[in-house]
Amino acid sequence: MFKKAKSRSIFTLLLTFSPLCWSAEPLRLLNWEDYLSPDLVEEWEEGNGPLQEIYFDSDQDRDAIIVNSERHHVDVVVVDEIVAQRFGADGKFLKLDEANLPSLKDIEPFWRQRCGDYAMPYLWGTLGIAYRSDKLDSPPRSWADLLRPAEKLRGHIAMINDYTDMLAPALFYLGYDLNTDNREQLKQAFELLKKQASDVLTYDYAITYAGKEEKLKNLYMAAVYGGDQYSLNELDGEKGRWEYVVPEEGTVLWVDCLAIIKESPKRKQSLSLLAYLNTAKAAAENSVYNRISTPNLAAVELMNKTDAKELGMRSLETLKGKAHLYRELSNQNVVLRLKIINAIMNIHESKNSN
Amino acid sequence: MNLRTRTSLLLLPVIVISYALSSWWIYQQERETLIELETAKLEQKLSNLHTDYMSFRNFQDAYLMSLVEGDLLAQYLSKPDDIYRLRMLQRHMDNALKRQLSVSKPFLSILILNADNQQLLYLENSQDPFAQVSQQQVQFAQSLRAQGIAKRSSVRVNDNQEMYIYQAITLDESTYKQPLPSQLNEALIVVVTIKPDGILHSLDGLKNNYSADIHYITNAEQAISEKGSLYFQFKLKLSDLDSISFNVPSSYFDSVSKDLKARMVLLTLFFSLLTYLLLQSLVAKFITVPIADLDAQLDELIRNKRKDILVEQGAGEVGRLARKFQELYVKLSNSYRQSFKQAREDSLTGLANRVAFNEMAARLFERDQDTAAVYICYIDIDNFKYVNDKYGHEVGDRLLRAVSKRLSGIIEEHNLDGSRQVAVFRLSGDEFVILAADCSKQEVYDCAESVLAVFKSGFAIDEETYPVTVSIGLAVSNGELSFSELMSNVDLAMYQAKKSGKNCISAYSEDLAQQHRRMQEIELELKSDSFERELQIYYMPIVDAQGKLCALEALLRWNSETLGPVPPDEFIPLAESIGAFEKIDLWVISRVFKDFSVLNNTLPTVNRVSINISSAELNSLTFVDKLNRLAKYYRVVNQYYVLEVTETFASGSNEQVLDNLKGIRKLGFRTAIDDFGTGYTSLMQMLDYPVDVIKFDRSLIKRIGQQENAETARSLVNLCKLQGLFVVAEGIETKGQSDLFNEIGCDYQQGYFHGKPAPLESLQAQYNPQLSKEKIIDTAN
Repeated sequence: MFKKAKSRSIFTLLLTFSPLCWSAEPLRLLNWEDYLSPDLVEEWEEGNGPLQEIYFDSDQDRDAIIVNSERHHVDVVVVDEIVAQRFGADGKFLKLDEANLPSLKDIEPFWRQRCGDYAMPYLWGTLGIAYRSDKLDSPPRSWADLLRPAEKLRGHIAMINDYTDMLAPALFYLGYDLNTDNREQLKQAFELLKKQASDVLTYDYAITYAGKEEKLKNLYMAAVYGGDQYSLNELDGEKGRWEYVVPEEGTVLWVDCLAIIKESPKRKQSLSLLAYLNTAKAAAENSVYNRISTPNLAAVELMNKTDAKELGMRSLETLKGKAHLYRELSNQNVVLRLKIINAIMNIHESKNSN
Repeated sequence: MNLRTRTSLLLLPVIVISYALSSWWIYQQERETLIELETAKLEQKLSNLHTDYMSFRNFQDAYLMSLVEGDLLAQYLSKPDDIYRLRMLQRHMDNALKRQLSVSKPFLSILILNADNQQLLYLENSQDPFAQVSQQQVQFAQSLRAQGIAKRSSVRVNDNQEMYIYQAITLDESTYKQPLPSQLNEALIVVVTIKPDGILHSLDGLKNNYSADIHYITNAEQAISEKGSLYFQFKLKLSDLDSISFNVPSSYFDSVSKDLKARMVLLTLFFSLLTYLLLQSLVAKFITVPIADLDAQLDELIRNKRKDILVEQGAGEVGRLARKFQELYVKLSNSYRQSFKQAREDSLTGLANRVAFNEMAARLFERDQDTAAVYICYIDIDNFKYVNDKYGHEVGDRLLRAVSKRLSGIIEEHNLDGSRQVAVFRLSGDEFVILAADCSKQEVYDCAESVLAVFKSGFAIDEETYPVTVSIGLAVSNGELSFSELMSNVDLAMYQAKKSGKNCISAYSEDLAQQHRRMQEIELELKSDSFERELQIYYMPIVDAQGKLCALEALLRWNSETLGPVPPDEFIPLAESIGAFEKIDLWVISRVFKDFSVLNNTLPTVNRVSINISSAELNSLTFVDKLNRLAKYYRVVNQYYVLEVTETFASGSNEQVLDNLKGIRKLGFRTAIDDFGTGYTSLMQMLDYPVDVIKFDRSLIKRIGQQENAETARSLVNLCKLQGLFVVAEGIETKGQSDLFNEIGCDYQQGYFHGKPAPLESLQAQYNPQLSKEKIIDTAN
């Protein structure tokens, strides 16, 4: 919690005073909230001038900003691997290679491939279930535990409002491909989610919900990205109540990438930020801070054994068997999935208003 | 039908009709108001519905406007394949819905067709992500181009009874502005469709509530008004062309006013009943109940269950009626009491009369007579007639009043503790009765003695004493007698008292009754035809001083077939009392006269024959004539006969008696006083009468026939003889008596010593035996 509060205050300080203190425009980073160690920000700013973090809480918001990046003056963005590849291909991002970013060599090649030529892997993780160990008799084993929750968990579930990650648990449970464009399969997944809707407390991401609603008490189980159980524990204030598990049907191996807007006037500064964040020390520190795995192999070397075991490459190896990867979807597929999410939200709203 | 029922029957219809008429009038007024109110309410509801509807339309307008005016749509159309721009359109739709229609998110869609009518975009907000664009939207979009219209809006209700509002505009393909009419064919068509949630549902609710008909009117069709007054028509305008006609049948208002009607009927009934009960209770309290009460009181009066009418205070008619009834009743009651009293009270003495006596007796006899004896004491004033005759009726009445007072006093004295049932009554004239129960025989007897004692020496009023006594008869019933039987018993007892010489008490007894029966039997026989045939004459010898037969006394003997021999002292007084004495006397006289020649011939020593006649004959005016006629008829020598009467004639002594005695002697008959010494007539009194013979009664003979009284007897005989009278001693039964009376100078004697009475034939045989023999010879011849 204190970590979050601290980062906020700094952010507020930056927003209010930096234009007065610095004649130059700050470097703007479009990022998830609390997704970068403040220590690192501070350290980088010492030699490079102000860094302004702009937060988003949904892919759609972020994508809208990136689409109109020239208007929003964003320099560096945190994107998922699909967006990185798509916008990279659309020429939105600066091409990155070992010439302008030499530390790329430290990145595990699998992740470099996932982020593509226009983005640098930042942190990677899994999709799983965070749960209140004191409310559940035993740890969830299947996505069904989330989709068809036990009686006492109904109304205490959080899902993810995302056209892939909301559908992922249903598709995994049904045994379908994560990226399927089969209408019938999607329809089945929709029916599952439709049924689940009345048991769902919120479709806001658990961390966001906990932060803005301060109703974490009502939340017992949530679909989250691996590592967020730590944030939940911090927000909760109770040590270690929240635990995380990857259900047996499968999970998504996701990676967040850092990309530089091609039209950014602060290309040099942007590259400097990426280089800094990809130094073994900074990458290790950031990974430990976020409790999310780093793709930087050199960073893992710097970690102690416990951290290295949890955040290092080994965990990737254990997951690969049941791991699914995001693929770029057809427009038609995306439109249908968007409609499904929209319908689920409408259903949830109408049920709640009833 | 009583008064209460009648008032009820009169009140009820009047009240009900009054309330019903006013209720009907109020109902008519209220019904109109109600219809106006209902109409206003419905209009308000429809207006609210219209407002709701318009909010959807306004939202639709604003949304379409924001799409066209902003560049989101333009951006998307310029790069239709950009998924991010599509997502932005969707977010825009979502946000617009959230902003504008925060409560519920209705169905909202956007459809864009290009110039070839191909679908460029279809987005919808619904709960069905797999839904396709509806045919209606496509047709609506195409109709725009087909009819060459730049923009249009319409409202349709589909077969599923879902309402959709369509709004379409055309956009130039490159400028995204409204195209010129000539460029319509190449223009894009944007259709925004919204489903106004709840409108139809509300409308449906209203329709059911009001049993209304709903018509959707499109293209400015004229409203159907032919149904006229059967419907109340309301219009809900949907767009310039479209509207909904909401027709409420007038029967709805009937049904609404049905409640009112029911309420009015209930109210009418309730108030009718209330008023009725109120009036009823008021009428009851002030009219019918007092009258019924009066009626009940009168009823009880008539049945003697009460004595008075309780008159309520108040000046009302009922009160007056009650008072008048009371007055009338008191008058009637008084006069009844008076006449009741009069009927039972003797006006002269104030004593209870015979009616009262009969009532009390009946009452006593109704009781259980085994336990209570009933006594009657019958009081008859002796010689009252004498007082009346001598002193006048006024004195007689005074006497009766005084006697009544004394009798009442005696009753009171003997019933001081009031425990006995006893009362005195005046039955008639000088007859009084004391009726008693619950007391002993002795008490009754004492009472009778007290009464008797009052008259011991006459009855005194105002210093004057009147010579009246009372004869009292007593009788009791111990339950074995009827009232009339008891009355006849007491009557008999009283009669007996009278007969026993008055001024005495005679109690009824079985002997008395037997005697009475005997008297009745004798009386019956006396009156029978065979009576005279059963009579017979016996002759009693009378001897002179030498003992020689010198006279006979004819004695009547009655040997009744039914009763046997009846002694004369039994039937003679009876014959006298029933007035048969004259007939008997004349029969005896005739019979003795008949024997005259036989006597003369057969018993020549006999020179006198005595015949007893009733002393009552001396009062007769005709007796002397009849005697004379008989004497002549039988050609007797009158000097041969002596007519004897008892001294009792002296009590009724008057001129007639003297005349008759003189008349008898004048005919030559001699007269004699028989049974001298039994009555109370003094010797000196006797001597004044014109008689020739005095016959000393056997009782007198017994008294003076003792040796020690010889001088008294001698003086008595001498006295008679000095007066020129012959003296006959009756009842001589011994030689001593015979000698004594011879010695003192008595002229004649008779008695069993000298010979018993016997039929003539026996005497002839005794005193003239020769004659008897001759007679036997004669008979043999």
